[in-house]
Amino acid sequence: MLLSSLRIIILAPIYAAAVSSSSFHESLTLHPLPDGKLSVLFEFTTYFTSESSSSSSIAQSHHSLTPPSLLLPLEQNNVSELTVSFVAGRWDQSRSSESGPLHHESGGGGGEVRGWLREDEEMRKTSSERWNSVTHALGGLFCAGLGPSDEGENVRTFGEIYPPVIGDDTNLTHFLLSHPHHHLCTENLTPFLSLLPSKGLSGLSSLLAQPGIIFSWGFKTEGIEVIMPSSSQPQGRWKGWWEGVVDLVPERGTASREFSIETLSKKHVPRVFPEAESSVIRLIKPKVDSDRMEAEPAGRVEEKWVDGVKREVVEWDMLDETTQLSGKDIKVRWNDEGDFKYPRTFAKAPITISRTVVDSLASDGTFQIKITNNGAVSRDAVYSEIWPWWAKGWMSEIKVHIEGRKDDPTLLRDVEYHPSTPPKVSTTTLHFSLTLPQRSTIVLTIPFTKLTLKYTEHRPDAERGVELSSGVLTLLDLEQNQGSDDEARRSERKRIYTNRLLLDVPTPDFSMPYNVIIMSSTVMAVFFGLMQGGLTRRWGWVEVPKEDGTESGNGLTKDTMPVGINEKEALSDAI
Amino acid sequence: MILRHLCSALALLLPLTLALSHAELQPQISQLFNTTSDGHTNNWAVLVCSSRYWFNYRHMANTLAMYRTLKRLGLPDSNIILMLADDVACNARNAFPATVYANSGRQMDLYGDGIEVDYRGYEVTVESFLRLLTGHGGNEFLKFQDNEEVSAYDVADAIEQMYEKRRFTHNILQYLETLGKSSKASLQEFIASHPGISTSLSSVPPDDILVTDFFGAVASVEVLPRDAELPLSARQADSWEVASGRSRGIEGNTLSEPPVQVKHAGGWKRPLEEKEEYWKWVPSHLILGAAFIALYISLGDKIEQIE
Repeated sequence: MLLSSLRIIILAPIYAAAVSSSSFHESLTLHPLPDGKLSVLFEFTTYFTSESSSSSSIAQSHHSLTPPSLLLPLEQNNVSELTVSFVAGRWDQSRSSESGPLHHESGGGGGEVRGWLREDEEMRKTSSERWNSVTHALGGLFCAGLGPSDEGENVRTFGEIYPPVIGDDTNLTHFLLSHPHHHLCTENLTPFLSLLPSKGLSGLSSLLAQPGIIFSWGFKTEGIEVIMPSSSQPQGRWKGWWEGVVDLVPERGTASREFSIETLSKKHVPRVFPEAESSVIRLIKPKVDSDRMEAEPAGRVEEKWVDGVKREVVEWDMLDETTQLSGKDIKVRWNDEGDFKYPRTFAKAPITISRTVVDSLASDGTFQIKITNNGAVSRDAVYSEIWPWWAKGWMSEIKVHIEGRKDDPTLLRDVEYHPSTPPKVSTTTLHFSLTLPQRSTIVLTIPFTKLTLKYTEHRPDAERGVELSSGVLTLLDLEQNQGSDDEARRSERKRIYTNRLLLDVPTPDFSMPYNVIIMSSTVMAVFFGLMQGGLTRRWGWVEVPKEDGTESGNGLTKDTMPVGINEKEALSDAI
Repeated sequence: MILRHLCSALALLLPLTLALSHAELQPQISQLFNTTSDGHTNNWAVLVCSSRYWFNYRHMANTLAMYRTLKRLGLPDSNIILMLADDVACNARNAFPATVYANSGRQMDLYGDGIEVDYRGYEVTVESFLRLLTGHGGNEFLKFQDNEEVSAYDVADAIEQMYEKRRFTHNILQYLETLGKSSKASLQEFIASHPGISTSLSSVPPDDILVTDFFGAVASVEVLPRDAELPLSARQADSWEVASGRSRGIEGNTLSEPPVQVKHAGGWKRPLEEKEEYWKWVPSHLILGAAFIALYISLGDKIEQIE
């Protein structure tokens, strides 16, 4: 009796923490694109409250739906917000009619980790030390080196580009680390699934736990966004997303673009994850042909704002007892459409951006960034770049003009330039404040030089080149007001990314000195060898003793076989 | 040809008719989980594939085969450090994305769906490898990324340091080095100092398994998602049996009350019992024989290919 009551006293804080409100929500969004492809987005959101109880002298934390391996390093290092994103492949802005993937928080190409750290007087470590430890911890978790290999790789000037979700940035420091060479593979998916409460075994995550299928999709992005609870905001949130673009029509030949959950994932609609508070499958009807599109079974149709446009969205609630979707299939088809005909023109995305290198030489080049505003109003934006230390931009040579017209310096309102400190590992960051006039393309050219790298600083896969981080265009004039007249400004997409750039960095041919050394050594050896031979050897005739009774035949026996310089004489003797 | 192998396999099988009975399992299992005096529970493996580029696919495949073997032996991912200098699985040239196969028949995906690569790509350097082994930080050399080299002396130095720090207690490396492909050494000799092994899942005692067979064989294991659809609260080791029995007739999320926490001593026995029921009508030595024949034929095929 005493024991049981004691246990209640001891465990009371645990019970109290265990009932702390955590809730898990999952959704699968399907969005057919005009070029016969389909954007598939999985989102898993967990809301949680601060679970560490301060009443006990021993630090405790209890996790029911939240993954301790993710939250504990963040908690220990006093992280306020953190986003990790991986992107593989290229989002085609011209054919998808969208400026970027459905999930707005996914970053540019490769891997990226960014976040806000809370300053705390009590912490013994500095914020950059804590940043290093948290990125290394998450890198270990996600099977990708996310931490900086050198202190100088940390970027600290992107705080205004990625403002904190909680709003107030007092006492917060922003960090960003870009790893443009990273890609996405099964080893990044495994930890992602293990962080989810459903572990890829039930619910929508079981559709995702098939690397052989989802890694055959074209564009892929995976990421997490964590907002830690604080004293002012007791509820935290962590959200994981996975998005891919599936080609519905095979590369060769023609076919219909109708699809179903089963054709996409080789599985039926899975059973509901019992702990999920909401579990929804959504279908965003495309901008064109939406009236011909039909889904079976029919779901609830709603009108929703997607990227600034009011769209029809069909929803299936997996928790709905009446529909009983699990074990069945959801089919989507276009009525009276046989084989898919590839359209000749596409509706333009509100803003498109591309970055290339022109005038490229081994040592120099020019970045050419083209930003097209297809909207009817002029826009305000900031374009940002991150360069490694060895890319040196000629800041005085930067030019901005509207395509087809002369240079217009008024378009570039301001430049924020944080130079690197070569030859130490460091980054150059640039923020260009731009005006994007309506229905026109603005061209920004930045000439640059590639500084000389040491032999050990070259990449091990020689001659492949080095990726540069994606450029980011941040729109400053978004209006969250849904009633706004201008369609493009209503969007919630704050940032548009360029593709990452593979820059030629020719590895110097270090075999040349070796060749010279080997060649000259050979010449010397041959020369001195001959000299040595000529000087020390004595040349003369060697008498071969003739044996009796062996004159028969050709007269050559094993014993008298002439060798060396006597060969000619012996042969003439025999003949 | 197969018939010839079959005959010789049968002939070889005669002395092997002794099979492990299931009655012996229980003490073995309890021994496995109760030994604390000498039982090694902190075994680590470091697997390095230092080759880059697509044409070195086979190097990656070999490393991953070893990784699979270690996982099959029960070593958890947290104790395997896998270093892959390049990613062939998600290489654009790979026609079968996110998979790596050991042979052209694509019988077993070595990459699988639960892989954890600790160091990959540019992180695989001589420095990180030696730091990993020492903890601070061709024939005679290994080429890393086709760029750096580590000489045999560096590795020897690292292993010397590991030995001084008692980082490994077995002379496994030395032992495996002395084995040829025709070696008849058994697994029992390999694990001579008995680091707490579980033989319950193998019907053949370690004395009868050749080391060469063990590391070269390919096991096809089908994992059934028995507890795949169980609620999370029911998926604890102790209540596993209780919970799985309960949820059988329950649809969806109606399992609201938490399952009773019953410490069931025979919890581990359940899958084995079921297996026993399933195979009850077949004498156990016959199963062993069939398995041996299959193994022998597959080995024979390999020998033929080599010939």
